[in-house]
Amino acid sequence: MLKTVFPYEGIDYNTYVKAYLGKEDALRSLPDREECRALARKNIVKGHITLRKVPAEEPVQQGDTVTFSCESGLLKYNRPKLTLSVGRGLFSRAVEDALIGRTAGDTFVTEADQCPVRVSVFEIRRKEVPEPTDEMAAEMGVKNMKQEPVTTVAGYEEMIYQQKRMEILQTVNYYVTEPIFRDYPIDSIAEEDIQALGALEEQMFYEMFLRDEGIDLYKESKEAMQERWGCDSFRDFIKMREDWYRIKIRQCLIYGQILGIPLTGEMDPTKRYEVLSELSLKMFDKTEEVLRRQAL
Amino acid sequence: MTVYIPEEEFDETVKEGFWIADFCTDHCGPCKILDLVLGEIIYDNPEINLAKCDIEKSPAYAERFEITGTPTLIFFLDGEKKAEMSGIQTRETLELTISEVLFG
Repeated sequence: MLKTVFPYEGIDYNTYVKAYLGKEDALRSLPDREECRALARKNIVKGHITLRKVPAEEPVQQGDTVTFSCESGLLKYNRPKLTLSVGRGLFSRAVEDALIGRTAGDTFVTEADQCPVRVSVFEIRRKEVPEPTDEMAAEMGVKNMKQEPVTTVAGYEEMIYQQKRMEILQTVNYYVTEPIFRDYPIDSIAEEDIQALGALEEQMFYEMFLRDEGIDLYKESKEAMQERWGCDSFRDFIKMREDWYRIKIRQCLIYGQILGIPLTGEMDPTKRYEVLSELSLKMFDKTEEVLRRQAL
Repeated sequence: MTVYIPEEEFDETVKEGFWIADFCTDHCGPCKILDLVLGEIIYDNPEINLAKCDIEKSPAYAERFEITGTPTLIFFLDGEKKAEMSGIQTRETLELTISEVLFG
């Protein structure tokens, strides 16, 4: 049973939420489904885009890939042949803007960095973007957050949404709880709890290495352990992590308070290794609820 | 162009043009975040090439390029290494580096 107790009356979580949301740079909303969909589709097709040469009479449009030369007194603008997609200003905003509306064969003078630049357009190519397909999504070989292979466009779109969602929830949760950890210090952590968490982690690492890599960590040589974790033995490694177990107990106590979950039985972090992960996920759910309320 | 290449094909692939080599792994969260930023850049600039280099599937990458963490990006121009960045980057930072390597 967890021996360390939360030494305060309670935590007014909403005050901290309000303080965070009142900040100018606070994240206040969940990701936009349509934006995530567009981002996903761009990523799926990025390896399948082709460039088609446009007919001579067609002018340069934003995003076209243009091959041109420029001559100028400035070294940067003195290039016999340059190919780039115009519009993002990677080369020069002034030159790229001046290219828009020109056709292949045009020669003109524009100004960049207060210096005249003579530009000759050789070739214009336009992007041809295919519709994303499940085959394209599958060939990217990515896995979703549950470590399952993503094999469809819809699956990839969902993965992007979930990825963006978690980025936001983790960020908001961090900034809301960071001052709580500061305002509610828990300095007196019971030694038995640190030992219990160490034992749980020792068991988890032992089983994981044996299962995934066929390595018995108790039988690893001093040299192998030095190379792996910079210590002499597996037990030394667990000892080295005692500060982390202190942090983990503090996090469990504070999350438990905020969520109103007693750290007993199944939710006792000295009994099960996964308790902090489960509490963190519940904190993200709470953060999501806050953002949904905020949207209304 | 975006290609997924093993280490033995790397030199031949990046020997011409501008390439961003993205050294990543399957289960690296920051790699996934950076991948989306790179995806947008490649989508908007199809003349820029992206080589996805999985250092778990091709462990020789890590030793050869001294990769100590993922994601790591190395920028190549006609086969020559020009710049290197580690960790998540914003689109603006990446575009600035691309601009410096290509036109600086």
